[in-house]
Amino acid sequence: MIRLFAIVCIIVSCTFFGFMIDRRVFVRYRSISYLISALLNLKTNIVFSDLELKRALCESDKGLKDGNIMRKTADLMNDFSVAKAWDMAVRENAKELSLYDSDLDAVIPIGKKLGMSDVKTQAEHLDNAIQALKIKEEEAREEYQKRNRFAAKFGFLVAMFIIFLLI
Amino acid sequence: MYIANAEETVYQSSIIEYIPKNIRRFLYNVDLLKATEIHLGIDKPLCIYFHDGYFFINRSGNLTKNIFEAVKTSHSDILKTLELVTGASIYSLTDEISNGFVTISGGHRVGLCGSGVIRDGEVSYLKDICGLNFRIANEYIGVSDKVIDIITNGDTVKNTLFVSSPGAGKTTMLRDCARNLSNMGFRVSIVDERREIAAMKMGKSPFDLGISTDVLSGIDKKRGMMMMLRSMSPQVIITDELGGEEDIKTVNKMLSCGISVISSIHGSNDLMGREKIYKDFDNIIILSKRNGPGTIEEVIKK
Repeated sequence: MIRLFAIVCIIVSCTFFGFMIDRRVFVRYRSISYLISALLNLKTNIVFSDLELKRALCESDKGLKDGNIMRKTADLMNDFSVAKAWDMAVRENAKELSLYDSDLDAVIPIGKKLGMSDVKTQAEHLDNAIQALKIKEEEAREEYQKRNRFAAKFGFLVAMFIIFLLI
Repeated sequence: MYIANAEETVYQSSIIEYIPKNIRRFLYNVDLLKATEIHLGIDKPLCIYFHDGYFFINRSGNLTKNIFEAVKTSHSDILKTLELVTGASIYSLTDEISNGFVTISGGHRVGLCGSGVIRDGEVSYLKDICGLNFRIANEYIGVSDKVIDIITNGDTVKNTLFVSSPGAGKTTMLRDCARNLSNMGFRVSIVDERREIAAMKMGKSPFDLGISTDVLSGIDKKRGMMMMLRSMSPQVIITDELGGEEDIKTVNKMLSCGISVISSIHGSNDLMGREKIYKDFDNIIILSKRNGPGTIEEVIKK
């Protein structure tokens, strides 16, 4: 009975570990999609609605359930510059959003130019950022499809191997 | 000569909230109520102007004339100030910035220095901001009491132009005229192109503009006066800083429609060469800051 319980535990834990690795790839893909949607909303709020940056940021990820980088930035803007607030908000959310370092390199510079130029320049700046993120999104999607729950399956196989060795 | 200095200063907006925190801590001891301007520049000493001269601020938060003790503002201080002043939204203030200044709550004007970005032949915005100058606006209730008898004639208001150099109280005088005339029962409309007279924020003015003064902000004088004429049927239109040919034509139009205009213009007591502007006004009141802003130097009546 104990042996059976141990076997089940090994299988569940190894598969779960693999599943978590797979999930990270999926979460990254979803997070980049969230960032693109939020930036598109931000562009609308700046270019067409002419909202102040703080309000534009708050409105931008309203309804998007995958992250709160924009709202967090607006909150931090009370104490820090926009660039610093954006940097802090992105880094704070990076783990939760499963963003890679290369993703951060594309996301963090966005904050440096937010709000500090005319509408046309802001639109161009946000368009460039969105384009860069679309490339990252495509990479993330390909990675997700290529792996196709590879880690979960691999975890299950490792579990079976451990059980085989133990028996 | 009349002297219409402030009897009571009733309003001082907290300009300090637009100064970055690491500079703000040096300013808590300073009576900004009496200051006229605060000047910030990259790697330059923080300079506060009063009616009797300018001072720097030392690290103990006291005023000093010694430049070596002065607190200096860094590049990041300037950027943070710019963010606070514009709400980090330069894109929504390009019209104001293209004129070189931003008006913040309380009617204070923040002048900007930097490199102009030109689009389609017009200044679109300023980048690489290197200096900011806060011009502190104060409300002096009663400053127009001495001129109100000159401006009014029974149930009519005479067309009046205030003339002075910058900082001599033209806008303050116009604001108090609006309050006085409105409280006397005149229908007063303010066309506040640069948002300095009423300094409206979210539909409210921090100043006392009288019981029924209507305010139209952010629209050029030509369009603004026509809009007010059609929509609010005013008896008096008050507007600031007449300038170009268009402004003069619009004032003419208002007068021919039977509406009185009270306005201001930069200048000195030398009226030569500006007859085109002055000819439509019944009163020309020349102000100076000789005994403080709002000193009435001369009243020229027609």
